[in-house]
Amino acid sequence: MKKTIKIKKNKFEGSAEHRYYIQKEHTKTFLIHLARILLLIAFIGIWELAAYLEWADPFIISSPSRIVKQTIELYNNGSLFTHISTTLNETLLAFLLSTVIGAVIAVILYMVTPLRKILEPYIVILNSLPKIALGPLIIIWVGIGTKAIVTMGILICVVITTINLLNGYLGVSDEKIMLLKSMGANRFQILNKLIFPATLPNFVSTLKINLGMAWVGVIMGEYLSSQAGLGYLLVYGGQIFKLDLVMTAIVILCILSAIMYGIISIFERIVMKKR
Amino acid sequence: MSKILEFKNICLTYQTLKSETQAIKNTTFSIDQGEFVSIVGPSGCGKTTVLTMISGLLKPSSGEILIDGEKVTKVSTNVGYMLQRDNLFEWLTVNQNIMIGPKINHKKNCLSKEKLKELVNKYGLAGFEKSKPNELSGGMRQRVSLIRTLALNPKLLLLDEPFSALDYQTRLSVQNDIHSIIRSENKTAILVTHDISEAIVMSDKIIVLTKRPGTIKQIINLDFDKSLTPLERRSDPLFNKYFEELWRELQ
Ligand SMILES: Nc1ncnc2c1ncn2[C@@H]1O[C@H](COP(=O)(O)OP(=O)(O)OP(=O)(O)O)[C@@H](O)[C@H]1O
Ligand SMILES: [Mg+2]
Repeated sequence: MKKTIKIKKNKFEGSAEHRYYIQKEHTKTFLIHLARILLLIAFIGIWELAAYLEWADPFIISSPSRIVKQTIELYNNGSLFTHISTTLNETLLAFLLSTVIGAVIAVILYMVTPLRKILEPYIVILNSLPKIALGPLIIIWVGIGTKAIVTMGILICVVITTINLLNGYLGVSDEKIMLLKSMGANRFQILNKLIFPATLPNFVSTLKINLGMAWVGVIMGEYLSSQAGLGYLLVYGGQIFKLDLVMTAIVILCILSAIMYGIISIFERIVMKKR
Repeated sequence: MSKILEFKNICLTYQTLKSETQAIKNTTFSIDQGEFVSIVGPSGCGKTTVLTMISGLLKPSSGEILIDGEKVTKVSTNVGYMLQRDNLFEWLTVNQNIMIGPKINHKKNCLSKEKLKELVNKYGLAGFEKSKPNELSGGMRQRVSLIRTLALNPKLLLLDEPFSALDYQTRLSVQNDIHSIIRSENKTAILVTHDISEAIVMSDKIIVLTKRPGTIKQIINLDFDKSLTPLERRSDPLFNKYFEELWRELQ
């Protein structure tokens, strides 16, 4: 293993061993990708087959072709993009707001040690509280609809964002802080020059977690009260026992969250390079 | 010679909930402009504590510290503190690491860019200005760390076991380098070390501390020929004499 790593770092191209190694690695990567795609195709195929041959009731398990048909139907009656954009907007809003709010709280708690110490147990409790329990309150306090949904999203995300960021800040080595202090740095310079750049990887991974949580929060919020959105489709489909609709919503959710995750990963790569 | 540092009757006690630890007791010494002084003593006797107090990061429980006749009350860029680990910022390049101090101080009283470039070249870092610290060897990192400390143009350098993370070979050459850097920049330096021979080859004067609570046990003045490098001092007959003397003191 050690040897192969050495070879990989070697900048001289051309040793036969090296070329063989590269080729082998490429083949491996290719096979892994291939296996992934095959797995997906097999899954869809078997699902379709199971429905077609009625191994299980297609009414209960739906099927890929029924999902496609359902999607087209939604598209034709004009509601497909309304649902998608409703949920997407709510999610992005909840994601951005909770990141900003969480980051601000984390910085304040980091800078003001007594406050951090005082609030510690309450933050722990808030974190372990199932936020859905706050549903009725949210509706009464902020009203139904988008506001309630985004609020639910924020509530789900903000505590964990705060905790993750704060732990990152607190993990920065004391010696480095001392070094900057000995050079005469003030608190804000320490934040700017050290704490933020040092915890950038932690920040990006927090973003990733946060995004996943934002989806959860928004769908929960839509369960609570909504006129449109994928969560609405889920509830509605369930109530009228139209599982094709439920499955369609789930599949669209999968695709959307995969795309957003991809975007964050690209962002991660750019940020880490620029650092 | 003018005194750059006066350490007057200092005591320091660390307070924690579980206990209080007296680290330094009634310690007095002074250092002249341009001197290279080492502090040696058993582990935990308060050597780092002494440096931290001089840097202004820690207030003595009693007594006062004067730098250039002025009482130390807060951190000052007149004092450069080089910690045991290099603590380079991995996300910054060599150049950016060196420029941290000047940036923080808005370039006031700092070495000029040209001067820093000269140091970088002189100390074998040319061509690595844009490298990240993880591409450097241990010795190179240590030199970057020294240049970073010098960038603020401190009069007094505090070096806390700066070589202990290096292998023996590198250590000898970095000792040489750093000694010559400090001499040629005409700085005053205080070096904390565990290594008796290092103290002997680097310094003009060695302060031996007792075990905790640390206070002065002995001050040894070394009179090597001024022109000798640390490496050359190792083969000087005086070296063995001082080594034995220090060895006895530390028993
Ligand atoms: N922040 C602190 N709080 C409480 N006690 C401390 C603190 N820092 C140091 N001490 C204690 O003070 C004494 C002196 O510590 P110091 O770090 O100055 O020793 P040292 O001579 O540098 O040791 P070493 O050679 O191992 O680096 C030690 O007994 C240590 O346990
Ligand atoms: Mg120490």
